[in-house]
Amino acid sequence: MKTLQDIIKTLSDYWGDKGCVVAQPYDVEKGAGTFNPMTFLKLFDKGPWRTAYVEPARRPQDGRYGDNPFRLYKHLQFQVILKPAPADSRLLYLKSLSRIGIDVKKHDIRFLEDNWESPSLGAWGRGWEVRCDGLEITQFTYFQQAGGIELEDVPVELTYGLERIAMFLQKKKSVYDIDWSETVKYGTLRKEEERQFSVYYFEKASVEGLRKVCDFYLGELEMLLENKLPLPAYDCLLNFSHIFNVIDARGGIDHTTRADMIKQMRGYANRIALMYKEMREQS
Amino acid sequence: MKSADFLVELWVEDMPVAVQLEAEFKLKEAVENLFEREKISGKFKKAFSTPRRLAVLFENVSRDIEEQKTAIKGPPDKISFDSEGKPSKVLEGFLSKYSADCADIRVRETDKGNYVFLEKTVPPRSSEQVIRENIALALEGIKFSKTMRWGAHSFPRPVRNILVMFGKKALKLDCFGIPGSKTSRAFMGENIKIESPALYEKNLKSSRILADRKTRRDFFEEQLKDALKAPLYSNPSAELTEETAGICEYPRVLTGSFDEKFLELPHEFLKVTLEFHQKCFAVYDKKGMVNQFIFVVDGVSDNAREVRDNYERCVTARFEDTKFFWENDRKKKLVEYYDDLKHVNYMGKFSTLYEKAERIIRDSGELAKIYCPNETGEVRKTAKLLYCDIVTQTVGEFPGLHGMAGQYLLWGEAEDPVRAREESSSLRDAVTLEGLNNVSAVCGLAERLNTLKSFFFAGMIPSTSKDPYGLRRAADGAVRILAETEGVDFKLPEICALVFDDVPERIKEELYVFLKERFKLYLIKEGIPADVANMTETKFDIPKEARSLSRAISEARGKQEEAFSRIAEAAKRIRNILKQAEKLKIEPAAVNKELLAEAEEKKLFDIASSLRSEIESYMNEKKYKQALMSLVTVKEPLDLFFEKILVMDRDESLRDNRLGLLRDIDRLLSSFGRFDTLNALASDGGAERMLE
Repeated sequence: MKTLQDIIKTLSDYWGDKGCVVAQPYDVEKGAGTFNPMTFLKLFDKGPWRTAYVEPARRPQDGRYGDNPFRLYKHLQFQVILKPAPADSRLLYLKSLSRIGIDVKKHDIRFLEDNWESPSLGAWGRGWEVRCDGLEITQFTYFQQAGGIELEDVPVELTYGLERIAMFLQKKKSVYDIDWSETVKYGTLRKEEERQFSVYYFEKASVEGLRKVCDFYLGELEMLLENKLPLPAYDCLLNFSHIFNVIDARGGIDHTTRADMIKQMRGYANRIALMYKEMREQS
Repeated sequence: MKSADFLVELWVEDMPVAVQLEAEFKLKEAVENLFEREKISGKFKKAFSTPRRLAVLFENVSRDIEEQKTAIKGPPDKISFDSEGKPSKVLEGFLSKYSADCADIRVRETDKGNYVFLEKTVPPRSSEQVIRENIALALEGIKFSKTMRWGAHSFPRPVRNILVMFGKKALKLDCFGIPGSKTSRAFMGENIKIESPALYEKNLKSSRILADRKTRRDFFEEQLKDALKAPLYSNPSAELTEETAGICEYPRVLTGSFDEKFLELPHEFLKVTLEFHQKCFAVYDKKGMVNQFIFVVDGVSDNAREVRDNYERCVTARFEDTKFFWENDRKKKLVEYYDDLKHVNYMGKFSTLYEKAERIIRDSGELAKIYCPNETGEVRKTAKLLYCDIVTQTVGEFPGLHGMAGQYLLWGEAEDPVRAREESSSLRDAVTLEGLNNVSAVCGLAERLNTLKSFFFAGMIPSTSKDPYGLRRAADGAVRILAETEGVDFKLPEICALVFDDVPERIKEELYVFLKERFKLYLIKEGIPADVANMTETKFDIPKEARSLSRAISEARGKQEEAFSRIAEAAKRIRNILKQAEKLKIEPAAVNKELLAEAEEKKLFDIASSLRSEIESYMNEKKYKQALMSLVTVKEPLDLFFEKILVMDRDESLRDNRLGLLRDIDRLLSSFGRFDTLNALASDGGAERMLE
């Protein structure tokens, strides 16, 4: 039986063999692996690019105090970018499933329409959520636009849900029962963290204070962009985005305000992407 | 052999149902257009679409295209050449338009003189060659409502294999960067050899692919019937069925089950969870939901048990989630969520849902005082609870359960279950409008009007194409309440004055007009003809009466079209005459019976006087049908009046008296709205002649 770390190793090896730079998570809180600069900013470089890495995705609203066998405030994504997307993208993906032990012919593998969109990154793509016997295991997307910029070489992004895949392969009913390694369970490492962070996000987070932090990051963003420093500006945007999610989890944002704030983030993502692209082209 | 079958198939990455349908249609159209343009004869046989393939089959496609002769008429001979016999500017323009040269033209005689003709002969060609040279461009050039890009191409989804067969032969070509062949593909890209276009469906079937949409649907329905033996049943929406079966190439129906403990949750919640997330169907028997569900898989058969176990695990996990939300939500009473609304911003940073809720409580209380004073207490109580479930986790997860979640919370916490049942359904109905009693109507109305008010005040007014905040839906809900609540005759101006008291007059007017527009559309959607809805517009202030009246008019006119048409015409005429008089500053007089000289005007006066009180009392009793039946009797005297009487007589006293009579008739007609805007019969003249 494959442990979680076996799965990560197998996927890293598989995609490494396909020419991917096996990168590391980017150590700022974020909602999805797409936010890692290895994806979001690297898309704006000229020429081909392939990378694969694990990324913890934090979504405060999905916290369940460690009680729910299925949902987590923080889960692990295995992210792959192939730019430009090869003609056999899908086959490469299906073969990666076989490599980690999912016999594609014996299961109900479905590609359900899910045109991925990150309104806060000004990014969207045509794609699918891949389900294996009803379980969503991967997001498969051909990016069309990012940072408000139409992408010239259309890349494909694969985002594997590692816990989902591990539960499936290990036939576990609870995420906390996953064997991370031969001897250590996922729950041993993560359950208490889930509980504490759920308490924080749902009950204790200081909404007013966090709003001030948001305002602070907005100030930094402006200042950094004025100084032509798109990389630290991007970190500020990630921080802003995460805090926004925390306030949202506390029920502090209604849908019209949400739309406004997302628009604001998209504006910055756009400016950062343009500045980054321009600086790369000049260098 | 003189003809052969033709098949083209595109193997693409998964398309949802709507895309399949559009693409199938457009593929067929593209091939047909190509055939027509190139004069290739052939008969369309069938189009196929699955999530992963689009195909179109033509029969009896001729192998040869006959010689084509064309002659295009150009400019007249005399302006085509200059004095030296060289082509003029005019002729050059004509030639360049068809990229031809002087060698292709002939001058011919016509009955209008000599003209230049462009004559071209296209020699016989081979269809195979023409198709091979043109099909790629035809397919790549199809325009779709939504596409995506990959590499240098675009299409609704990436195209990964191309099959083009003419007879048993594959056409060598390059389309979307892929060489054409006679090999189709299965899920993992496995080759499927197609023997001939006619055998396409059969060859695919042996690889467990049902290319024909109807075959697939029948296959699915049959299995569904087998899976649900009486008394079990399921009632998935048509969309869900289409969506689940439509995204398989070989749909298989399986049944799973879940722990009975979940049946303690509200069954609506379970159904939403099953459908929304897992695309599974809930199963019921006579007593209600049972612990089973139907799911659809694509093609898998020899591993069904494991697949089912996996599906059951997914459903269980989803139910655990729903249960988690619900159990958390139930830790508080519904009303205790009220203060949480303070934390929910509304329309930006400056307002909260709490403030809006406070206003709704006030407005529904005031409305109740007018329309259902005995229930003011209940109304205020329900209004306070209206938004409370919005902050629950259940609604956060399934926004469609707003109203329903509140209902169950209220019901669950009550001490008196009978009373609670009623109160909680009023609460739900104020949101969903499933049922309308006084309480749900008044609360639902106050809520919707306040939503409209805040958006109009902020200048966020829906355009004809965009309505991102659902304002039209909110207005339509309000309109339904105004028109359909039994026993309450809501008065629009009164309500607007009450709810819109804190916005400028201009915005109040905009809201009033918007609501009336939506009410007109509501009538039209109900089947009221547009001209009737225009006619009764002056009556929209009491929407419920306007609705009954509009129905009565449509019905009565349906029976007596000719009479209504004539009255409408007379009404237009009266309006025109009165307008004309007004322009000339002529004041209609109060009718003096003595001054009525002619028999026709006496008759009209008599009838109008007797009708006036009759119609008035019918209208007061809301007996619109009878009122209209009485009114119709005015048709003949009106007709005769206009036939014989000159209104604008030289004798001023006669004239003013007649104007006075017409003004009275106009007032009489106005009790039904603006009769003059009602359409007269299109075939009016004909009908008139036939009848007379």
